[in-house]
Amino acid sequence: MNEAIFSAFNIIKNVIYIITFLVSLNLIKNKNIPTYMRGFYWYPVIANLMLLLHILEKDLNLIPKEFFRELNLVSLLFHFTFLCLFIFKVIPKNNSVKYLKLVFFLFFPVIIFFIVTDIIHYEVLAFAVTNFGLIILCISYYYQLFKNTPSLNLLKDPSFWIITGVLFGMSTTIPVSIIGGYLFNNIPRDIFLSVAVIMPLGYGVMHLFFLKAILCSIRRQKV
Amino acid sequence: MFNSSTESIIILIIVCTILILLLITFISVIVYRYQQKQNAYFKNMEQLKITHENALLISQIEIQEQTFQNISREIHDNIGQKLSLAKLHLNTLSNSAPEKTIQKIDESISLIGESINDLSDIGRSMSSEIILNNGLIKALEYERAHLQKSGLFNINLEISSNMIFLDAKKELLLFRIVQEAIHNIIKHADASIISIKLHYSNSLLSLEIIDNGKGFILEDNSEHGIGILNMKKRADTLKGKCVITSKPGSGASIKIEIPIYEQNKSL
Repeated sequence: MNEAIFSAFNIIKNVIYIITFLVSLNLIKNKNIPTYMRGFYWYPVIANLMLLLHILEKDLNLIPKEFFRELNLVSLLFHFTFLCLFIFKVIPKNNSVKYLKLVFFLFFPVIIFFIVTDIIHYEVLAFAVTNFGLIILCISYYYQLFKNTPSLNLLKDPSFWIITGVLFGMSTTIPVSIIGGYLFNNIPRDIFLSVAVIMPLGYGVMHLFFLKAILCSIRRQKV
Repeated sequence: MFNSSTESIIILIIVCTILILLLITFISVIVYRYQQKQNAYFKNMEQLKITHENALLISQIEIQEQTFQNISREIHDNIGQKLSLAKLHLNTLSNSAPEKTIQKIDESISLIGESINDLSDIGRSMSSEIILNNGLIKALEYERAHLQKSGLFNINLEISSNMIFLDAKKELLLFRIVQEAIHNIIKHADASIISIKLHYSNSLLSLEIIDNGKGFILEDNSEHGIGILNMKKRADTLKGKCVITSKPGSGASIKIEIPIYEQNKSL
């Protein structure tokens, strides 16, 4: 039963990924969207590429498991770098941005260390550190949002939706990222799957918010 | 009551619901607090705008009042006295001394002529026509010539680049700043040399009025307060800035910078 629920959540997540990817194609060569949204389509592109590779590896057995694992770790680096750079772009420029860049330069080598160390347990830590770093940056965005002149219409601002999506996605998946490996080995599969549902839920909602942000950019351009 | 699978599904639904509710609450709180801040900010901006407009209005009234005072003083101290003297001459005309009569009539004609010239000078100085017809530089040249006539001051006018015609209303405001500055120098500075420097760059018009008078302490606003405030308000109206530097014994400098690009855009 839990297997079915887990699959259902995954399918919903995959559908959201694909819709986000298709809508994000509108951003390509679109000069009327906010500057920080230019190039954002790369995130859904890579997410869908990983989704495709995951299907090829797990369902069709066309890609070796180890190769996919390595690709997944590279995509983690892309995920962290891309979202960090995005947050730096949308945070108002002042002195505190320097310290936020420090967060990136501190976390990035730690993630690489966990990735290159050939221990599965460290890999889990790489995901946790990535999530944690992004959560810090998202909170900094909200702090700066309230610290600076309130000139935005938040509900129509793409950056707000993206950061909120990232914050939700990262904070919901961080506990499963940390203890997922332990739970997989120590609790019944049925219960593990009911906990693991949080992962597609978090990432699905995150992409749903990205979709909202892309739609906001396109609508803003039409206005 | 439930089997373990049903239990875990219920827990799952509860957890998902809590997470979604938390997300909705979080977004609502952020948006609500942000809009509260935004409303307070706009209210504050509106208040500032009203205060600024009030200050501008007060300064306009002060400028008008000062102008009336200047005209009144000029008429009373100068033209009034000349006309009174002419009247006195004409009242004391006598047929018994024709030579003295002719002399008195000549003096009266001369006094009336001077009064007419003075009146015309005041008129020209107050009128915006010279700016509208001939531009800022001609108006400054006229003002210099007018002041040189008194013989009390040596006025230098330096234009160090190709001039750019600005909106007449804005040129008039600049001209009034120069008049205000010169008026202050005449009234308070005991200066003998006044330099007016005008420089047009790609983006800025820079106007500097320098005197070699006794100078003043900038913090002591009692004597120069209204004049300085008027100049600053006028520069503010032109979206520019007015910087005054002075110290006792070293004269004073008033530097006004206004953006040319915005000026041209409004043309």
